[in-house]
Amino acid sequence: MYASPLSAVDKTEIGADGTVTAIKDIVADDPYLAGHYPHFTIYPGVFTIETVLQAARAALEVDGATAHLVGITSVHFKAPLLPGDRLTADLTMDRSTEAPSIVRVKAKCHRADGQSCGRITLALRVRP
Amino acid sequence: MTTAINQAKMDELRDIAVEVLEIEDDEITPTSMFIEDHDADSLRAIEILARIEKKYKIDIPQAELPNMVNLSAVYEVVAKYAGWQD
Amino acid sequence: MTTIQHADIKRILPHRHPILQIDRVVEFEQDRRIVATKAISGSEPCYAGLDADADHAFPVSLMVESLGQAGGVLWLHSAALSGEQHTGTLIFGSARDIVVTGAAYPGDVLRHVVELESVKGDNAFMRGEVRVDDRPVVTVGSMLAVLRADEDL
Repeated sequence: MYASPLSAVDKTEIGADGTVTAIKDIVADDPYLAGHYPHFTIYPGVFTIETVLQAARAALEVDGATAHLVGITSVHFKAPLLPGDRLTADLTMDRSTEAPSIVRVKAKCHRADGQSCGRITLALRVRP
Repeated sequence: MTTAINQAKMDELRDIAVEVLEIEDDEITPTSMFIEDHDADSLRAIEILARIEKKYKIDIPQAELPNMVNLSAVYEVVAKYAGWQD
Repeated sequence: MTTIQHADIKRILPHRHPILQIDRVVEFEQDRRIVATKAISGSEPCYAGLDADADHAFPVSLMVESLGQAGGVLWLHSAALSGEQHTGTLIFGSARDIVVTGAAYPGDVLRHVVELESVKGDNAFMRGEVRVDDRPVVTVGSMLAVLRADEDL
């Protein structure tokens, strides 16, 4: 268990090729959203990062291992996410041979209408 | 009128584009289109413009953005504002 | 040095509780640099329901959000002081080279240092660092904040 702003993953699916797909339905009464913003609710970009991070941690924190975020190489947001929409994040995870404790995660995120809402590349350090 | 290309400067521009677009060196050519071929959007275009401005200490009006569609076009625009002579 | 109190930050940023993650601006150099603080409290929503065995490190996503908001204050307040009118909703556009070197816990005070690199129309490029007791915990190599008209969202 660890502190997170909200539960940013509703469902996870693991593909045959090891890709992880995480789904999050955007709801206006999730924690923190009341203030973002009072006139117009929009899912904060950093919470899209949370979706990717929580999905990656869930996939990596097995058998007592812990996975911590060590960096976000790049994050690009595109179409915005509004309440009622569904965020789908497709993650591929690779371990580098030079540093096997580091897992690089690349995520492509899109909305229910198929439009891209972001691309995120981040790295986690896994400790057994 | 086409500016004669200084290859070293073209390489510098390519390095910036490759880094912002997150592609490999060999994926980009002078004429491959940022938006159509490299999945760029307006934000990435602005990032490329801002990095160029910082590197060459010039100011490029945002109005030039629609002209900066590939590396050759970027070179033309930068040459104009940086005063690159051949 | 200019101090901006929490209530006055609400005249600059549209964010409200509990996602307004800046407590106070302690240094402000128009169009250049800002230093802002955020105290981490165990009563934040992110700590609800956590028992003693849980990892209480403050979420990195909220640290990045907090740093981004400091940058937002630097940009928007500088623009307002210049008499510029900016309309639209503040959006996190992109960021690069974010490195996490430490963790922060309830009781820590985050100190954000953000520099404004350039502004192009409704797009602001910044870089910054989050520190706790002068120890860097998150460094952001570059980030881009944009203002988008509500109709374009």
